[in-house]
Amino acid sequence: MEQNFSKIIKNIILFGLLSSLLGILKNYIILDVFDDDVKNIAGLSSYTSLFVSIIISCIVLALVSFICFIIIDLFELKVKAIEFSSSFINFIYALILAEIIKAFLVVFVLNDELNDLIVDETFNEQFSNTNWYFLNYITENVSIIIGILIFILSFKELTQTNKLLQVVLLSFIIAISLFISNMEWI
Amino acid sequence: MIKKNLIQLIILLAGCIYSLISFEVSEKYNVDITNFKIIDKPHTFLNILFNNLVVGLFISIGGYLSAGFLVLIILFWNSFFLTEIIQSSLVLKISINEILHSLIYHGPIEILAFLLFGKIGLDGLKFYSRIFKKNEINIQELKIKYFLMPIILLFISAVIESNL
Repeated sequence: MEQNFSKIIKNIILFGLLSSLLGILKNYIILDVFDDDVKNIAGLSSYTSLFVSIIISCIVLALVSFICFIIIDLFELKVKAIEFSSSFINFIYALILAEIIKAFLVVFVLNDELNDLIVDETFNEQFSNTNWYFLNYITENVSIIIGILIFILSFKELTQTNKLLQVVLLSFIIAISLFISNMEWI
Repeated sequence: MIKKNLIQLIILLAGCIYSLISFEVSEKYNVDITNFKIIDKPHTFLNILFNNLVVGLFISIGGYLSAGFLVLIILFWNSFFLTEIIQSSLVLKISINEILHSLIYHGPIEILAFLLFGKIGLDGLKFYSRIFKKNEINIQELKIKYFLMPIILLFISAVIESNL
């Protein structure tokens, strides 16, 4: 299990690094709208929240995969640890692809819309009403669903008795955890 | 151990220096400082203790699971923000006595507690080096006894802060 888990951790770190790079690009484009006097504090707070949220996403991914390993061991599921780890890595690749799509959305959609925004006290409201905001939200959620489908289909011999049910149970745990960690609570 | 404390102190200092260098007073905003308070939140003991505990656990456990990165980010951000608040208060002509009164009694205890939490978080680097070098998962550095002292310090600081 330990070998498989460390393989997953390495891929999660790859996901974190790539998300950081694309997030820096996104922040750079958004911060360009602000005047120099607010750019300083807005810049630092946006980069801080970017890195904190990416680290939390990575921790959630690692914890969820760890919990799945424990479930596989504890309930002696028909799913092998090596099979789970390669499917979970495919799921992480789907998330990486979604990050790349989100970066394209920033460059081609948000970049145009930012010119129409006015920096005042309603900026947050204007920002959340942009087409980009909606598309970004959809991409985030759809990527989890597509990732889960890829995760399920990556398993072999799904027709084996009870195996499909066990794989669906694992995918349900992963999906719920990620949707909860994506949720805006406040 | 000294190395870890030194790293944390350098990060705290870097946050302060960055704020001192980059601080700008915007002339666009006219702020009315009548009835202005430096701390303007519900000021109960439990509220303060709970908030600080959440930050402390975030630094220690989150820091551990992120190979220490969260410790560095949170310490930098907090020292930057504290320096910004002090500078903004001075610009708003709030007396230095009032600023010191709201920070000096509980501040050092709180910072010490967060540094102790930070030390636990920085051990995460060992956790990841074990995963990479030996493919071994072991959280041997996360011991309950390490959390005891910083929690006691946060308790004392919350008692002082709630009575300011």
